[in-house]
Amino acid sequence: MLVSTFTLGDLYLGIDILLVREINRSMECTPVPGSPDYIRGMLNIRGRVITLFDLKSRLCWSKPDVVGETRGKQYNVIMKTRDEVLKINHELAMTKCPWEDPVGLAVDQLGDVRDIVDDNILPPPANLTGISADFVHGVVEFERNLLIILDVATVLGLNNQASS
Amino acid sequence: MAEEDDELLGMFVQEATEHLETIEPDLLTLEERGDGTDPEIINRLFRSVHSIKGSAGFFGLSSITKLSHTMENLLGKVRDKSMSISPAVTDSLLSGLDKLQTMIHDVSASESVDASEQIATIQAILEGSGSTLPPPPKQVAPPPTPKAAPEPEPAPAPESEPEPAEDPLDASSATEDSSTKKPVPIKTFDLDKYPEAIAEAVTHGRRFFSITLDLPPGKEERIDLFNTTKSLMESVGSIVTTDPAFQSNKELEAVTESSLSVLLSTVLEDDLLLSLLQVAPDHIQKQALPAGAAQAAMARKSAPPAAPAVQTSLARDDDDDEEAQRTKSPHTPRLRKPKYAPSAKRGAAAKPGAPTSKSSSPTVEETLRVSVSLLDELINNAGELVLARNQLSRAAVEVQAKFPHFGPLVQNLDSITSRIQERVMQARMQPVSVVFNKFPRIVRDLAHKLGKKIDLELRGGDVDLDKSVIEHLSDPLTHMIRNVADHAIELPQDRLACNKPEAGQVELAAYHENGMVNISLADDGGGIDAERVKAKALERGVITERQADTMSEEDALDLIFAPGFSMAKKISDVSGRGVGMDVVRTNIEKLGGTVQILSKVGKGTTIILKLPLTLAIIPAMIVSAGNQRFAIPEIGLVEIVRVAESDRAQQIEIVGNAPVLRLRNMLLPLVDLTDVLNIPRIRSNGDGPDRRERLSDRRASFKKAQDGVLNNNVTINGNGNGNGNGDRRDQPTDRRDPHTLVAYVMVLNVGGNEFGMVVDEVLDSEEIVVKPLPAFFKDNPCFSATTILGDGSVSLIIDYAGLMEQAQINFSNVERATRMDLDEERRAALRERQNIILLETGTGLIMGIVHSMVRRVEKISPKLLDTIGGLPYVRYDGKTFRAIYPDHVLGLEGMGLSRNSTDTEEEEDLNLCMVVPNIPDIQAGLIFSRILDTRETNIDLDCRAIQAPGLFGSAQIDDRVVLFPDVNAVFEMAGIRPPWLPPQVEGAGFRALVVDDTPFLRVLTSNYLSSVGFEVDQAEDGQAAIGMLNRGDYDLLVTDLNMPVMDGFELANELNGTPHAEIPMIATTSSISSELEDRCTRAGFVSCVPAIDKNRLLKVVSTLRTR
Repeated sequence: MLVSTFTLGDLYLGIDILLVREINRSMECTPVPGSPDYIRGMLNIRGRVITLFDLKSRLCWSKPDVVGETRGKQYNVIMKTRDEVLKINHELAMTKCPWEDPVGLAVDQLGDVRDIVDDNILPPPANLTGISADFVHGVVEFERNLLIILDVATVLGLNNQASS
Repeated sequence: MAEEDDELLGMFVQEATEHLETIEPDLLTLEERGDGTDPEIINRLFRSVHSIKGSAGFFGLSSITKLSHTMENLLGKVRDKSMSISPAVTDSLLSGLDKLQTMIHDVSASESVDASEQIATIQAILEGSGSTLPPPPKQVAPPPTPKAAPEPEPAPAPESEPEPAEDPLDASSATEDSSTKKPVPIKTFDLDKYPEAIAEAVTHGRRFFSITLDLPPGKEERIDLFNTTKSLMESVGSIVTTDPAFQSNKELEAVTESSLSVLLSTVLEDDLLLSLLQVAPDHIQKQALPAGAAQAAMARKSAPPAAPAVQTSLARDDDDDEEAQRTKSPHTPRLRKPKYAPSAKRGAAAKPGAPTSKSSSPTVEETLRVSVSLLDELINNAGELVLARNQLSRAAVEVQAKFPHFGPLVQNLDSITSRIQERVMQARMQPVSVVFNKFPRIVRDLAHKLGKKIDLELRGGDVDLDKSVIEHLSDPLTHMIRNVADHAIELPQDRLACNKPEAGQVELAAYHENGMVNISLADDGGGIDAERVKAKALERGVITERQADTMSEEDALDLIFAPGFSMAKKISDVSGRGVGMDVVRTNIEKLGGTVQILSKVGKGTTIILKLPLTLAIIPAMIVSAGNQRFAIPEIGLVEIVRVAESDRAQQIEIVGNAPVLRLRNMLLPLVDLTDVLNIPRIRSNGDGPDRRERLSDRRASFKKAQDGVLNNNVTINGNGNGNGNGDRRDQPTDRRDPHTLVAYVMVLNVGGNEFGMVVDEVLDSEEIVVKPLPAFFKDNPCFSATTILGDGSVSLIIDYAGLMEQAQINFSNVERATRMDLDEERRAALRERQNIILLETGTGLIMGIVHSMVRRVEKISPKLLDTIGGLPYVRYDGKTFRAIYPDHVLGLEGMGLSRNSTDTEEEEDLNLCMVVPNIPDIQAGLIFSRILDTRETNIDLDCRAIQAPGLFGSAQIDDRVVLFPDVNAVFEMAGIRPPWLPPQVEGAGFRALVVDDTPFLRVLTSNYLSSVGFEVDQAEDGQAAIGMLNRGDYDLLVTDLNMPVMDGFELANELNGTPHAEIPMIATTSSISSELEDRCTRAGFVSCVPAIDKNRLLKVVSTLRTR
């Protein structure tokens, strides 16, 4: 499968490209009072209201680090909605894409698009650091780098078994 | 494959639903007009039921097929006029329809639905009619001359296709059942003559049947019968030829034989065909393919001759039967792809009624189904287009300087953009008839059930409303209609007794008004008795007795919307369970609408729903809290109150542990938006100039907001000094300290309860496009949706009800708190406010006189002042008034210290004010130099600081000392007495208890009584009064009626039956009415007098004394 990759701190992360709608430079977003820390707020992208997740604080970085400084350089990975995925891949939509609203993930740097053979995807190793295994769909070794493929549904808190 | 089936099934459901929608109103018409019903309507009914049956059959939905088949049979008889339309017929059809609806609604479960009851009912009617009303005798067809040898066929092969427009649509004449019992020789066709048909049949596994139809003698009947049968046949297969052959209806008319043979090619088995066509088994015969025919056909196919092959493929590819058949050459057999045949689409396309309905309503606008999500996306993008356009327009100003042609281009884009947005929004609109059309049936059923007669008239069904509004309208309207049928419309005999037509007239209408859509439901029924509503509400504890007394008729009617309220005398099947009109109101308010009710006892009731055209765009106030902007829907926004920080302490107080705003005579629980949402608070602690700038910003934006709000008839109390006087708003705000910070209180109404939401700033009033809240925030009750503001940023729309919930405002607590938990001082402050006039005397003293003591205030020129006999008089309006200077009389001239610029001001305005008191027959007035203000406020009267005879005391208002003179005493001291004798009261030696929650009035009344010698004690409410009564003996009780904790009536009630009941009681009130007097008398009061009327009070006391 094709994976869109990006970095977040030291982590090298990837998401199935079929789930990605577009990538924008980070922009001002409206915080939603009372929402969890890892939801940064809402964005307007061409008339659609996007819920922006702060991937860093979601992946168990306890504190969102120096706010403002880094954010300006960040990128937002905007995900497709379930309806959009349904049009491309029925099975993928049913299994991997439980979110119905447009969402985005804030990441640090963009990487390449990688083609990954499914067989090479391994379960997360026990000594994985920097990210809770719950959020990991699998890992792939890549040029001595570990590419972590995210389980987006869990990141968005939509997989019941491992949302906390 | 499974998906495809699902899709087809989905189409079937959709189509069947559409049919059901037409069936219902048609059935109702049928019922209404009985035998006089337009045959077209019956045909349409027949057609619709038939289509459902046909399609259901293809899907193997046997339950649906069976039921619809039975219904169709009955309709067939009705159509043939072999059965008259009786209520039993329509009833059974309607109940069948309901069942059908249930089944189609959940197609997958339809097989398990038991419709046997409905079928049995209809069957019973069918059979019953069979005996009583036999079908018109059918001529038994003499057997056609059997011909073994193939007839010389006219070439080209017969065109069995009459003009579709003449096709009377449907098949299955029930009459056929009983038509022939005799065996009929069946004609055998020579299949070799139709090689194309055979080829087709072989490829698709079709069989050939020869069907004999008995032709009735009449030409028209004959055509009719044939055509109906033909269309039926064509829905399942194709007619290869007929015998005798004919080309048109004309030829058919000319056919002399009494029977007609039809060669049909179909995939169906004969038993199915039998039940479908409803011909006797002996009228149908399977025709085997001639030996070798198959091979021959196959051979022909493999080496296709040009023409047939083309036609075959043409027919196969063509989805539209009608078209295909019409264009077919006479040689071409009727072709049908079996693969398609069992599809719903095919079934519906073969709907025999289609051509006729086309001919009867030729101007049907072409429509296209578009998914709502696509529309929403379009709307989104149109919105964005508008934003982009706005940005472009701004940029254009600069560009235009360089490129002059740029302007018109932008303008053009501008207008196109606006048009697109407008149109796209329109696309979501639906006519209200979508909702309205179900009501005739509901009303009919209800009327039956309740034994009433009701005529429902629908008007304005073509008024468009947004889809989202339409969807939420159904339930409230249904509820209202039920109520009308159940409660409003009287029984026929009762109606006749009051000279109304037997049938209740109910009108449901939609119309535009002021940019809203009004939906009114008017009936001519019994109307709602406001008094009865009050009584009921009291009984149910919805209101208190006190509220009931003061409640206007409109407010009382409004009570039917209160939760837990039902007017039904008894709980019926139809309504009266106490859940109801409150739900209606809640639902309508959720839609951003309002409900209004008008009623006249005996005449009828009208309920008007005012609805916004769309939910997608709403007017909202943009406010800020913390550093964030929020949108507050203007619906439910009552007013905006500006509270300066300096006045905060006075206007906002803490009750229990919750802040409340004292606004006029209400206590408003307050919610600070910043706190509830837990947003970091920003407080600018900068220096003076900075703040000043901020403040002016605020003012500017406030003004803007004010304009916006005023357009919506919302009043703004933009007053920082705490006086709720509208006309002071226009005065310059200079008096205020420019350094004070300001908060705004948005007064919001949620289901009749008001509360205040504190925000930092009011920025703007905007029409916002509502976008749904992402699911991630659904748990947060404070927000209802999101919107995109003019600058492109996302903002949250506040949900009042949720906010209230979040802030845990409990209105009953607040209410109780205001009655119980206030400490003394607050309590006094919260009670009735007095309307006072503030006046300045010639010596600069400020005096306050209670408004109700003043008959009028006149502006007089000093020239009118005259001295007669050493005493000052004023000539005014042809009369002479004795002029009294209150400060002189009271000996307070020396106290004039609050003004030091007296001289200059008096030069400016020499006119004086004369206050004529509200004391009968006194020709005198108090002279003041000017009126300062009128003020509605609570007076915290201090009776000790400044003491003088004729003075009640003083109070501080706006940091100034205001003296309150006892007007009666002032006149007495000035030696002015009314021409009549004052009531002679000798109170010495008696004890009186004055009960009043308002300190000022308490002092006043006490003074009146003590001036005639009473020994007076004071209590501030009924509860305290009882305590005092228990401790000491009193000879007189004077009590205010309207008090917290225990009011006057409650007090009287409490005392009733105790020894204290002997004490004469006098009630005082601020507004007296004959009704109230009656009530007082009933409650055991000696009399009821206006609170400030000394003479009247003493008069009443004097009558007591003489007893």
